Amino acid sequence: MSNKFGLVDDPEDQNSPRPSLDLSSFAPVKKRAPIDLVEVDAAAAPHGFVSRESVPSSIVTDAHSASAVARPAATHARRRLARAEPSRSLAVRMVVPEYDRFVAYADRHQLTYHEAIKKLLDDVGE
Amino acid sequence: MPVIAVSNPKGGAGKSTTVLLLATYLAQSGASVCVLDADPNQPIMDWKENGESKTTLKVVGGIKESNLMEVLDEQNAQFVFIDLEGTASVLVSRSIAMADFVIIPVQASAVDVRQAGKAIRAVRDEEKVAQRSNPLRSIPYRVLMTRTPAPGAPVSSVQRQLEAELVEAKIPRFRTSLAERLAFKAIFVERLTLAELGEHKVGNLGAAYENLHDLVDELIETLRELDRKRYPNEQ
Repeated sequence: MSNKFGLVDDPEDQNSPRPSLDLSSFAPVKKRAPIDLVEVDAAAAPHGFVSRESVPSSIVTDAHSASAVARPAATHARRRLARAEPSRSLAVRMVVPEYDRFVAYADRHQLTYHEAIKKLLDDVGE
Repeated sequence: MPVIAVSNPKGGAGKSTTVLLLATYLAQSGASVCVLDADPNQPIMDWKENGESKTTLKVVGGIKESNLMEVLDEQNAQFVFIDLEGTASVLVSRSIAMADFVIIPVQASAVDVRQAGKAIRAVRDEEKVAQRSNPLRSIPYRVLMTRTPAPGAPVSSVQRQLEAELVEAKIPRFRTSLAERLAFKAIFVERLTLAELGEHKVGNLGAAYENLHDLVDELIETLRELDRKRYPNEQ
């Protein structure tokens, strides 16, 4: 559409921020006050906020120590017990955040994956 | 002021959409704005790196538990948003602990609301922790209803119940909701800002922009009010 006479509103003008928005009073972000990460992590852990990052223990530094507190205990080789019952395999493709949640849950409770599934089913009465 | 964390441990609540809409609008208004993309899927980093938007918005990706504080300290923008992952993690709780303001986007669904409850409790507990070293420290937050029906469309009973429960529980919320709009989805598809979508004729762009105008106005008003409460003698 032509706009020779400037009567048609420019679509870009229609979608521009309102002129009244004055943001000059907002100063640049200041450096954060130091926080105690151990306390921060401990406060969030009861609500399910645990580490989802797998950091090899060999590169854990002081900066990571707080997350190590919330992180499940280091995994160890679990003894495999021979089961008398017949078994079948279940391969499940999951999105990463849910996969991480499930693995973290199993680690937190020191369960194998099949034990974790069994516990989840038992807990909801299935 | 201000570092704004956007959090809900439930995925798909509208966190990245909220961050991108608010951040690009503020950048377009002339503010210096930075987004720390702390979502492992890096949706905003992807938007910035693979799109052709001319926005001045700065995006920093690869945020992890170990580098959050360091990256945050390097920023000097007027507004820093942290787009958080849709899960309960140490990265999320630390971001909340370091934020000046937390936005908790919630869809009107039982799962979303219950997960949002986790974020609210985490904010409150992190605030208590912070107050041990600084009694004046507060971490204000607001719930933001997302993907609501457009004005005039029927509102679900779940949404009405949720709104009533928020009032009863005295949980602060934005008066403005982000409606379900094609344009809000299109910004990720086209990798453009809402203002740059003009040529793409996506849905009711004018209404989407009006919705965003209202939300930004309310956010700025809220931040100014919080600042006045924090430093009453300076006003």
